[in-house]
Amino acid sequence: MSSLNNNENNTYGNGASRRFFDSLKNKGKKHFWKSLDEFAESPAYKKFVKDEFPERASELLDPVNRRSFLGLMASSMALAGLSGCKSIRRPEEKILPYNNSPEYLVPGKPLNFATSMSLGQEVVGLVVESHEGRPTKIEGNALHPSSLGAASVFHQASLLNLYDPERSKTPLKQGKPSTWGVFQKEMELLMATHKANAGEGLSILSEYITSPSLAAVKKHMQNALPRAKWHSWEPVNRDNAVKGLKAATGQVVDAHYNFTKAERILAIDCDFLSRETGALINAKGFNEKRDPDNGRVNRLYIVESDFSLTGARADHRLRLKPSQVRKSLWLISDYVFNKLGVALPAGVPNAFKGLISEGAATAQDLDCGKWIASVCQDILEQPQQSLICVGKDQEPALHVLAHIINMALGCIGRTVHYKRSSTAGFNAETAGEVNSLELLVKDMADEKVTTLVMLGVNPVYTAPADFDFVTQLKKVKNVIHAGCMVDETAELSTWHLPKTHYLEEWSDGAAFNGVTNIAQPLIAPLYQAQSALEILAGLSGYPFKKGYDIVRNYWKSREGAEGFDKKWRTWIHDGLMKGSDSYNMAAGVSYGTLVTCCQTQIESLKATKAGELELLFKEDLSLYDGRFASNGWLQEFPDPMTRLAWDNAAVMSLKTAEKYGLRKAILLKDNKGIPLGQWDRPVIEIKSGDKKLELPVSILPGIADDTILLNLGYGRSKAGTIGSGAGVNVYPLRNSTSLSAAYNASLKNTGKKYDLANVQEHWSMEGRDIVRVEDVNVHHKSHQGHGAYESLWDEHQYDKGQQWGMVIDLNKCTGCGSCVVACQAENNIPIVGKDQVALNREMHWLRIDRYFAGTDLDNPQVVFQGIGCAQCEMAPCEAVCPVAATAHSSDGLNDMAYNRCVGTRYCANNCPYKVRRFNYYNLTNKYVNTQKMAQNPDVTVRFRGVMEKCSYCVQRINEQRIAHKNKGEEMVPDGNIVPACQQTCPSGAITFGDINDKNAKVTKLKHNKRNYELLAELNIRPRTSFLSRVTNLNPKMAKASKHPEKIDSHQTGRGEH
Amino acid sequence: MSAHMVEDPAVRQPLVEGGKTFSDVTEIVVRAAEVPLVKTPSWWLISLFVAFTGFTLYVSMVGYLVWEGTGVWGLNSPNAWGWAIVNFVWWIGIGHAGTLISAILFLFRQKWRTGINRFAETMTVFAVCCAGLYPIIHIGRVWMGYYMVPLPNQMGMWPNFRSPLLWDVAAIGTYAMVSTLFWYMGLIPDLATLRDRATNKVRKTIYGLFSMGWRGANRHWQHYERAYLILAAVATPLVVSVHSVVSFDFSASILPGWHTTILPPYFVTGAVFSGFGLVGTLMIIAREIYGYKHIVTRRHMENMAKIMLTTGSIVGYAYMMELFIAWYSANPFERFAFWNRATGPYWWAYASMIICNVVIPQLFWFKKCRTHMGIIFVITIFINIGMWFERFVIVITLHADFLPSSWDYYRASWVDVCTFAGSFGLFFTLFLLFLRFGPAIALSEVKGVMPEADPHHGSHGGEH
Repeated sequence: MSSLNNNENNTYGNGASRRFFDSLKNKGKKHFWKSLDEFAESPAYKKFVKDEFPERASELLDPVNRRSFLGLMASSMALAGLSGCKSIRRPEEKILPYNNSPEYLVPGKPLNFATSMSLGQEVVGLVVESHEGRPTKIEGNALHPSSLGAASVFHQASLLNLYDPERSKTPLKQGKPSTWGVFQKEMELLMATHKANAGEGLSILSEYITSPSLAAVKKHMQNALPRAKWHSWEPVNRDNAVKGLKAATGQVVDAHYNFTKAERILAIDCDFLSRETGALINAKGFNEKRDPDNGRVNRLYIVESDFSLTGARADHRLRLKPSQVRKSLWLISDYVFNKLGVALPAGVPNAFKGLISEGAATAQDLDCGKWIASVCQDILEQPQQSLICVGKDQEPALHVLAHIINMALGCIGRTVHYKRSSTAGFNAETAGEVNSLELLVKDMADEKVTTLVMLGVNPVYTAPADFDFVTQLKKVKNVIHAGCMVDETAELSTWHLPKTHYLEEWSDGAAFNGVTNIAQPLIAPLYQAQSALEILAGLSGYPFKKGYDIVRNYWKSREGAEGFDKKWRTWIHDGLMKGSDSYNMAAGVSYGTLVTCCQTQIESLKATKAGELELLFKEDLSLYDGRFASNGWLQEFPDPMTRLAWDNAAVMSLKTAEKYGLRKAILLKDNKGIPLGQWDRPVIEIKSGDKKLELPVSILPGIADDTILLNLGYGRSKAGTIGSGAGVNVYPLRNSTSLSAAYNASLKNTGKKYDLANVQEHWSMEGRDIVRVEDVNVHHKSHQGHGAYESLWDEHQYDKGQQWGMVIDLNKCTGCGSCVVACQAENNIPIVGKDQVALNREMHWLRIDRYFAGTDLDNPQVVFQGIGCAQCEMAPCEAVCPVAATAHSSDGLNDMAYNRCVGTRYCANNCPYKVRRFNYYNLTNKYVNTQKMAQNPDVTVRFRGVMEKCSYCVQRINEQRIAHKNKGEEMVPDGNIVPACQQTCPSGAITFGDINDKNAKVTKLKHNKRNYELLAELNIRPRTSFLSRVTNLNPKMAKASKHPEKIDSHQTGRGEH
Repeated sequence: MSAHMVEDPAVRQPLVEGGKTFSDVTEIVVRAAEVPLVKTPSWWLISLFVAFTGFTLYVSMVGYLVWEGTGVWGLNSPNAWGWAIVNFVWWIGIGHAGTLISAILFLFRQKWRTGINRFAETMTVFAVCCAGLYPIIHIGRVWMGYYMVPLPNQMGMWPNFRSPLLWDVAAIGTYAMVSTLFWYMGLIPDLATLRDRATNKVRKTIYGLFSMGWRGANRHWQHYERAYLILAAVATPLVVSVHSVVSFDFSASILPGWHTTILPPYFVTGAVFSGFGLVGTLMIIAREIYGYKHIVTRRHMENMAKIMLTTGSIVGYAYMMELFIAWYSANPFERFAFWNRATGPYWWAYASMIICNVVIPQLFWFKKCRTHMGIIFVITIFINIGMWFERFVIVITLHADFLPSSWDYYRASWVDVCTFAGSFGLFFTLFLLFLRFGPAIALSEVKGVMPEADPHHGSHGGEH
């Protein structure tokens, strides 16, 4: 209505008389005017306006003005030239709002979905945060018993694999892009021939099956094509444990430890805090029992060759060469049953003692009788509450012995449970992964295989060297490979099919402890990819083709149609099927098989001649078996012990390096332990059997002498730009008979040099009060005694509102690094690459420092300290910033205003913890679209030239604050805000909260007598404080090692590297 | 010659030797500036070519730096500052001699200063140019550098006045401004001389423009003298303040090895030391080439040598004192920082510093060394190097601070080295241009201290 009126007014105005007074009547026309002349639009006024800017105004009006003509010509020519350029014209792109908005979706608010990830033989339930359909952050599913909310570095980082721009995108035929249609047509013909002969010549090689649905498809296929053969291959597997326990108990089971009940733990090469299955829940249980504020503290003994994260937590560590570790349990059994006379468990006749003596006799070269005696005596003081665990790399006989000792001590059912996953039976058919692959290779060698379908595996890279997989693969006519990347195996395949990432597919999982769950996709496949289930269903003529249908119908047929919809929805929502983990397997003794198993090993022990040098193969803590080689977060995640990033190395002890004349070459690079910034390390040639390999050397004190630790997973030739060529591939030294260790190797110095990127060169704390270690058996004064340091001025009092603080319990930290990767994912932290890591320019907001302590450099203690910005109340960084880009918030956070930062880096200099990270280059501007999708929209992606650092996950704080403020609540209740690091920490070492809230968990911890502030004497008042680490040394053995308070004295603390 | 050097307290040795008259002095000084372009000496052309190549290198290095990011330098996590800051402090120190000679020695009526003050002031201005560019280019986002200046803005956002870097901006800004004014004002009468002697219109116009209508009138001189005195008074505190403020960048931090109260006097002395070092180096070259030997006499050089000996010894005392205090403080971090400086991975830098700054200048105790141009020249070179190492040693204390986990070695990248080399190009390009076209010696002031300028000239025993 009003617009109509305006129109009328205009019409009236235009048509009106130009005479001055007439026009004055025309009042509705303008609201403001400078003069009556203007109001009336008199000709004189118009002329005035025109002449006020004579140069321009008249020019534009005069059509024949030469200058304007030329000017217009010039500019239109210029525009014509630019019209092809996108920067001038806004692209015509139509955007559409949601017509029917997806349920629950509020733009800007993330949604969380439960799913699971299968890695090796383990399934862990996860909860994935999704922003507008993009998964951006992976967290553990607190309901899932194999996660309890925690996630490992692999789970955290697997997100990046989803968005890897170098993922396989289309099917490839002989390396050339093709389509699924062509593939399907070819397969119809091929499968028809296989069907005609019941699957003769068809072999399938999959990963270890953790999916019940996949097992069902497999079963269907075996029924349809009975002569087809199914194999599976995991380069890192639990064959030994399963075989050993089968021999011992007669059942296919796996050991499941309850650390919350174990007072004394003896681990034989068992890295239960990181490399074994169930590490996440082990860490939780172990640390619950190691909390001095929570009852008695457990005591951990470990026998190992490498220096594992579990070894770093051990109270007493026995370093033995791999060939000795495999004998050590015989000595222990001998001591327990023969010397101490402990009764053998029911079902094991006394004759077994003879076998034990025979086994112990092979171990005469071990000089550790005293150690073993003390340990055994200590363990026997706490029968039923002790636990002997054996690592997956140790031979079956050791698992048998552990079972017998655990049974004799009454631990079974208390600290040790035997469980079985619902897919265990499907995998056990071929007596283990190695055996399974060996059968396949034999078939291939005999040219019995015409079609080989490989699902997700990369045997060309991972197969044991003696299988000579590549040669045998060439004998196979049709090689079909499905994988997320075009890897080494894809290169040699007839057909490569893009496989979906686990966040893109419907699947299900069976965890090692029996829990089953449905794994739902978070996003539709980014590329033309299909899941392993779908590919197999397509090949085998399974009645359902879509992943969703396969999984749903499998469970429907299993659970019955009645009330299925509701069950299904609950399973998907919860991320697990409740009650599916309840059964423990009864553990008996199957004497006949266990004796054979033990005898086999004794024969082997007698036959093995230990050489000068032994090799130890372990899956890498950042790349696993190599499958994560293309993952930048993991490549840049430094090994917790060696602190090497982007590379593996021949890791050896100081003595070994000295023996081979390598120590000097490395020490010369340093001056009294202070790094000289030269990363070139000597390259050695390792010879094992007839294979040779060149590797750079890295020294790790604490590793067994005459042992070289070689981490798997590096040196991939086809792992994208990130992974290709990083490190050295050690698989060529790994035979099927020496999967975990080779006992006869030699090395020589090649004289070559190789640069290793190490994030922390310095070994020692220099006698400084950095990581506090105390022993529970020694009386300690409270650390709180210092009192407050005084200031020269009136300090700001942070006594109002909620004030955030954090406590990191160094007694719980295992050094696993989940928090580091979680922080990287949550806070859009870029990777910088090897050359930049070598320059110490990594961007991790949270890092885990590793220090060696103790007086014995050959067998030191290792301590970890996670450290990020401590949000100091009197932050030294804030005072020195000239542009006030870093300032304090009212709730006690040290905030970074990225767009204010000019990058003087003065704050970084003045930070005593050196937790500030600088964008030396533009690390984020070359992100392609998929990488952009991985970014957390709640956190700024930083530009070059600005400083960044931990913010206590301020986005999470504010999200909760806003939510509660909207509800009219001033305070966010304790526990509602969980930073990414705390969320994922398996040990619960990190606690965040309001330090003004007396009842908050964090405040209570701050009053713990173990609480201390790092560099408190600087009076910077850090909001992050630490709880000292606790040891529980065996008083009888403590004399041999040093007094804990004297750890890291001035004279000895200096590391050498 | 040495006999002349012994001063009769009653009769001072004339500052200009060789019985030169006013016109001789004018001739000697302006000769170089009056050579026609076509007759430009080849050594000058070659030097300018070299210097300009260096300047081009500087521009390209800075361009590369701004384009790629600060990562092209050798910086790393504990060492967030490196050569850029070392060079900045070094150049600022070089610039110190100018103000000292112009202002403090002026106020103390040290008349011998006239022979070298133009040189020193010119060097100051150009050294401050070189120095001032470093803090600008060293920041991560050069294009946002103006955030450091207290400009009114719509955000109502001021810089952080607590930050020593902001004090730095103010101190260096003031210093650059005052020393430029000082230099230029002193130039005006001499530029007028050049204008008056100009033989072609172009020269006349240019020198005329810059001499701002100087006629040498009594009023002019009166104003000039007064203004000069005021500027000298203004500049005097700057001599102390600039380098003190620069030292606050370090001493106001909390780092062991940086957080020490000795730094301000230590920096100021060091600055004077290094400033005289470079003035000495350049002066010796110039007096050989231009034949200034009668104006810049051995006595001048000897006086400078004495100052270098004094300041060098003070610096040496400071080195000892900081070691003592580090030990006496019983602060383990402090002790480590200093012990690590001397014996750690950068021992070679510390040793170079001690040898060049403390040990070698002790030769100036010997008169022979103080008066031998070759020896002075070599020693000044050592001082220039030594003072660079001093700054390096201080800045690189960063490499090992509180937490050993973050310790790391710092090594300059090729870009660092080329930028530093290029900054010499910038300096010498400017300096050579000045030598060629400006009055390299303060003509009017030299004349002012000649016996002829004394109203009592000729009557022996007149007061001086």
